Amino acid sequence: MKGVSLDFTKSKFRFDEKYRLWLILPIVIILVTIAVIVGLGETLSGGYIDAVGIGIDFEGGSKVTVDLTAAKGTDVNYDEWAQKIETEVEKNHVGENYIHVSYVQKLENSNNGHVSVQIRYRNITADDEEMNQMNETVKAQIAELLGTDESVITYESVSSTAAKNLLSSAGLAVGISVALILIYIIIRFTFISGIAAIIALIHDVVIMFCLTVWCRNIPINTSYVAAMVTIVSYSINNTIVIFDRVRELMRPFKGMKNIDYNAIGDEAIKSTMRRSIFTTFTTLATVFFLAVLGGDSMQEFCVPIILGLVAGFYSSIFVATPLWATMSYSWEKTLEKIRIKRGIETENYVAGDASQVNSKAVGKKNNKVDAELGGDKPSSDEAKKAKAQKAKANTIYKYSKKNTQFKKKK
Amino acid sequence: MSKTKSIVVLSIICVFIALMIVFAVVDFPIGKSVYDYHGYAKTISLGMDLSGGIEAVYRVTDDGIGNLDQRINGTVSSLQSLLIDKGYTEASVTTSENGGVHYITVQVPNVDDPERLLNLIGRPASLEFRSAQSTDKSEYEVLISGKEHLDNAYVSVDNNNQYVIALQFNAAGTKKFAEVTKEYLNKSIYIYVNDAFYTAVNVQSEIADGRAIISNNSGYSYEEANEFATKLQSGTFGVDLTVYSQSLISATLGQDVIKWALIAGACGIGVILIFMVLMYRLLGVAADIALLIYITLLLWFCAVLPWVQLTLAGIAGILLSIGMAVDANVIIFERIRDEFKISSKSIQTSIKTGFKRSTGAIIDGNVTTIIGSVVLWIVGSATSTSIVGFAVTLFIGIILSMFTALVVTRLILKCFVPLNSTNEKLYGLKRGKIEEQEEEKSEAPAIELETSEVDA
Repeated sequence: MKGVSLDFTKSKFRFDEKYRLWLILPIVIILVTIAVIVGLGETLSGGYIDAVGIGIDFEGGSKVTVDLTAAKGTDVNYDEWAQKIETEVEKNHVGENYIHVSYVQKLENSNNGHVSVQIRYRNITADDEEMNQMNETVKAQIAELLGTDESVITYESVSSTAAKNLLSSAGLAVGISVALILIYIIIRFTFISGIAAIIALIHDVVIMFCLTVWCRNIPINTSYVAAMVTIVSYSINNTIVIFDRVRELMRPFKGMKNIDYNAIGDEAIKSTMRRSIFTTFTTLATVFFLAVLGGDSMQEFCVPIILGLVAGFYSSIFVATPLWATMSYSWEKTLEKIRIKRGIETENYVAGDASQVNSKAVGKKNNKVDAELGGDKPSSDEAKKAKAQKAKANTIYKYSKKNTQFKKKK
Repeated sequence: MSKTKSIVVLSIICVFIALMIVFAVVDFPIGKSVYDYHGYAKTISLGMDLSGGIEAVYRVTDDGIGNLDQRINGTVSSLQSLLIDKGYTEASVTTSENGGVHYITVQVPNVDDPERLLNLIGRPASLEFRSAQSTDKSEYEVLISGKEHLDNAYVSVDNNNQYVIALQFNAAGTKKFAEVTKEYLNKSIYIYVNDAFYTAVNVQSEIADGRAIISNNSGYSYEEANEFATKLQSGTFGVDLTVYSQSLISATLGQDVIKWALIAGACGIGVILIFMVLMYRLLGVAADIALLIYITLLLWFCAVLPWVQLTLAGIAGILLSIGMAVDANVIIFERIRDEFKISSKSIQTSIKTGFKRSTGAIIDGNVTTIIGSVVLWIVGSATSTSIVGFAVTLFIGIILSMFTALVVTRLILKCFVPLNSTNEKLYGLKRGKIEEQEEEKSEAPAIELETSEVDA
């Protein structure tokens, strides 16, 4: 086999250029989603809740239990009646809102052995009184269908407390873990990497949510929360792998200034590109088959995951790394400014370099001055300082791929 | 490693995988005993949505003290933590209301005799420490009451290796208990359970840490102690619960879902296995073997650990984690490829350095996920049930994937190298162009100067 090359290391394409362009896509997605939610929220009678597609778990609803044994005797055909009752119930509507049955379950009473069918559906109107009437109608309809009196049918309104607890504890857990992950990345990498990684993480969750809203048929329920938590814990990996490469490429430049962060970010993305694609592919492979073969309920869980995986792939390359480069530049600039303000001259800091900084500040943005002044070899450093002074703003210390091969210290 | 040694190791690994797969699905009777062995993959307990379970509905009896909604919510959280304590991580607790009567519904997947537990909840035990041995309200003073002062009750073991019930008082209870033990030093206080005299205790010292134990002269059996502790715990609920109905409840999703999930899983895994071999040749074979070990170990852990009750989300999570497990291998192999390409290193050295240089990325990536899962585990067990199972599955998945990638894959590759250490194609490796190798070789300082004209 020839093998798919997918080798991006030689590609002339620069991921770091026009990084603002990459941010357009997520921003557009978010804006469109807001428009969709607001637009649908105004038109749908269910309001914003319907627009987002909150499931019964978080909304509460009604639970109707029909004692089939009491109505139809002991040899009742459960499946047949369960189906009939479901169809009957779903005929009801308030305005444009039809009842949609969320769960149908079979109950076998442990004491008297009665078989019941239990169906749950989300309230289709916010008005309690109206919903109670609706439930009464449902009760009467089922009684008529079964040809019995209404005593075999009971309904209750189900609260969403448990699901809300789940949501709040999941939110709390995600909040705490994001904070801890941030601390870990700051310790193992740099402060800027930590911030960039966390922003990418937030991007993933937000985009995933937006895209699920677009899908329209995915309810926000407990398994959605599980999907979101999965993405939170997974998507950080992509960013970490790229940042690991960045960390490695940055190693020779330790303590230096005016580093070409853009080029380093670009190189890190390219050299890990094959891995990013392959891993996203293998992860998607399993989830994809589940979504296709697993039926509705599996789809509800897998589609958000697929969306989240794609968002995670995008953010690690187009959000996290450019963000890291941009923030590194501004951080360095801020440091310079502070230094200049205080008038402190550090050992590695030379006059020529300062003039470069000044020229950089007034010069065009894309004329980033990439000077590398090392402190490792004092003798060659002296020479470079001299050169730098001579060349002043006209000299660019070009970032080269060659420099970035990490060499083991002897 | 010598050739023979590596063949032996590889054979052992293959036999291990074969045995793990067989033991996963095959059932057989064990010797002459009455027990049968069941394939461990079949004994993985399933959550409510896949297997159904037991539903118990409790009627809330309002005794009219304080805000009812608040107390019901408090009871729901207490019930949840009680259920997690007992290992029912996929249980759900919901409240409902009909005509002013409140109900609390508990659904537990059909595992490990939940009926007994649900019955116990409906028979709460009220614990009281009284000042005198009497059931006439005018004759005694309630010093401590379970409902107000008790935070938790659990089974513990005392110095004589007897089962005892350990009591943990809440903040108010701790304070009260300290006062009581001070006041009644060297006097007796009387413990009543459900208004019946249980035992008299002679206070020997002042207890300020809010802990106490209840022991029995003849000793409890574990079951007795466990039952008593559970009843005491239900006695701390803010509202009284009485069993209203108890039923077996069917799965919310059909049996078909499991079947299709397994088929989808098989397809996904098949695609991954083939993909790895196509992309990385012999390295891919090593990854595939490691992946099979990962899958069987993961299933085994899911079967033996009590917190894992697989739900739909759990199955998808496992399949996802299989995709993730490959990730570590991909990172390593990409690194090996790079090492080989840009240098004149031998295959063996490339593999060695590849592993070394990718370990950092793998560990950092996984530690962040481990942090996430541990936080979920801790937060989940305090507040919500269904998160815990997910967190546990995720945690096992990550630890295992690190283990298989960093240990198993490396071992297998170490075995492959002595068998063939020269055939680049077999390993899917390729040298880069000469100048690229030169770059690596040159030990010149890592700084290159280029001058170009820039308009100032």
